[in-house]
Amino acid sequence: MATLNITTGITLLAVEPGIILTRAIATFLHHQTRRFLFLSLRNARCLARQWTGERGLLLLPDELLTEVVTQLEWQDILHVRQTCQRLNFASRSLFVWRSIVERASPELLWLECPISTYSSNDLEFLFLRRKRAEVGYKMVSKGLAPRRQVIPLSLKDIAGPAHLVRGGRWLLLATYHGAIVYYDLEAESPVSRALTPEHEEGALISIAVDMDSTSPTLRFNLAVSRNFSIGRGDLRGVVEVWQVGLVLDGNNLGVGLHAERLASFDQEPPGRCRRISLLGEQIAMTIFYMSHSEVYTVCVAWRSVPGPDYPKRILHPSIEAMCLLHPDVLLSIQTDGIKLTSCLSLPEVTTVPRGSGYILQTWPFLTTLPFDSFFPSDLSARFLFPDSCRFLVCANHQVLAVVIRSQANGTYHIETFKVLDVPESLYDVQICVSGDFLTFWPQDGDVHLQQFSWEKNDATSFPAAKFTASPYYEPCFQLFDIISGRLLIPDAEGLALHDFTRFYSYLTSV
Amino acid sequence: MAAPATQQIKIRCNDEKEFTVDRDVLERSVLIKNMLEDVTEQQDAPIPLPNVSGPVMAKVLEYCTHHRGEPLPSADTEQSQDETRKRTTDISEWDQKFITVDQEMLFEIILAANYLDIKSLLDVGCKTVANMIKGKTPEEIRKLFNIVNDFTPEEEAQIKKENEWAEDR
Repeated sequence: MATLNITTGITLLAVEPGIILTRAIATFLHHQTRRFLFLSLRNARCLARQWTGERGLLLLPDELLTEVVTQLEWQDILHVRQTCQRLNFASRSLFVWRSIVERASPELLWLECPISTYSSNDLEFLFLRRKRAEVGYKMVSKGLAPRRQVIPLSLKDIAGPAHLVRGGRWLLLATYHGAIVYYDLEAESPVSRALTPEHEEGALISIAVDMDSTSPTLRFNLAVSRNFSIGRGDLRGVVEVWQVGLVLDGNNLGVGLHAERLASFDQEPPGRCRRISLLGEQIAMTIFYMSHSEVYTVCVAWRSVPGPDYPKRILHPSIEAMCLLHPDVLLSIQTDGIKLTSCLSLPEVTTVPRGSGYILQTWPFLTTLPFDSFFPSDLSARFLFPDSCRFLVCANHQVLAVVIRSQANGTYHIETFKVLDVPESLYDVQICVSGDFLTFWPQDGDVHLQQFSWEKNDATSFPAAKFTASPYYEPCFQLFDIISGRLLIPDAEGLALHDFTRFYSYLTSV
Repeated sequence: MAAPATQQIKIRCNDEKEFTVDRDVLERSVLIKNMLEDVTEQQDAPIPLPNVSGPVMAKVLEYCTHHRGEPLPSADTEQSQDETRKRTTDISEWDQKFITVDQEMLFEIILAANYLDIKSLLDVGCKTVANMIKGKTPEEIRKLFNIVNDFTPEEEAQIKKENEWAEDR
């Protein structure tokens, strides 16, 4: 037995080197000040370490090993964990993975709940899954196919576009019965769960999603337009806006989605809604109005629709594709180029002017980027940033990246560059983009995958890879999410979920 | 600064080595700063520091002298945690030169910085160790720090298999 006289006047008892009788100390120190207790415990711990004869890195106590590991990048963390038990333990600390996830940009990793609700295991899993997906995309170019799991669906059950919500966990789908259902793709076998109620059968449905970046948990607004026949070949349209949020469990983690209806009004003019876009207070729809035989694009402040013949702003010229980039800025793609319009500067009308005379000759265009005979066949989902917006357009057998930046003087700068040439043999391809990966597939062809750069014309950072998935062509699907490594492709059996994080059998054990 | 800059404080290390240091230099150590604030009456006896040896303390004092007068990191732990999340390579030139020591001294400095509660020095030390680890294989890391592989063969195989995918880039 060794008795040490520590200079704070406290005697510590140690039975043998490295073992401190903490209970004895606690009793003994009962009457000492807390500061002295703190100091002596520090002393005791350091002395204990000296007696055990450890040297080098492992001389450091666990909290300092964690501190060191926190300074590492993820790959080095995986290396360090393979060296010994104590570093393995340190590499799994919550502090380490919180720090890694917080350093990651929101484009790299996006959490649907506040970071404080996740365990160290969850954060490690989510972060490494993203990294696995990146490895996975490269495996495709080596000729391997990602793991495929079919969500059984008959294509006739699908009434319109599907949308994979950012983060890749929640899939939204419109049904033949006019409902919006969702699937939790994190589940072993994803099943359909109701989000909005069923309505009339056979409606044609368009949906648009507007993510709410101010909410600490996943929340977005969902616009749903239903077009259904009211006889004699006439179509009626109903537009609804829903706020969708997470259903939380006792640990404040998401277990489902719920929706609350914020607005509902008749689509004016009636007719087939070809495209819909939602951003903030504005909703924009491109509608084929049969009785005028004209295509109109209508902007509506959806929160304050008073009743029939509500105020709206109408763009008449035929628009091939459009989306809202800002509550006040509508992007339209027309045959002669890409145009930005300030929708709030258009006059408000209550009825749709009759006849073909309603053509605004002088649109208040903010910017125009002219193209010769520009026939877009598809427009990818838009990605909005505080000062810029980007998306892909497929037109004239090319996939173009479009980057729009807002300038300090209130104007916008449009930049486009070619990402790739679509082979002439592939007619009408479907493109999906997530992060800096794009995937496209033609009808009854292979699925192509390519990494590119938004910064410059550099599409060859890794060559297009392809795998066979026999896709069916369906317009306006956003079904690719690089964060989770998931790509959904409608095929003959249903929706085939391709998981790019799973090429190796051992990954399934995680 | 509340304390007069001229006040001299004596400290004694575990090898009986004594230093007489300006109070503001010594107060880079939050541990000593708190101790000095607790003691109101003038004390002539040196402050005992039983966990720090003379050579290590000399190094630590070199650091504290160079950085004297700089604001101390906030006592709020949340805030100082954010500080450590900054990228690893940002060690100033002087600090980098200062911390270019043999491994034994490096870990002694980290332990001393932890014991004496000198956050910025602890950061410099941990970042330096992290920079040594960067880009090395598990075997190279073991060799660098004389780490004994204490996994069972089964554990080692399992952990290797789990992390294999990350090498395939």
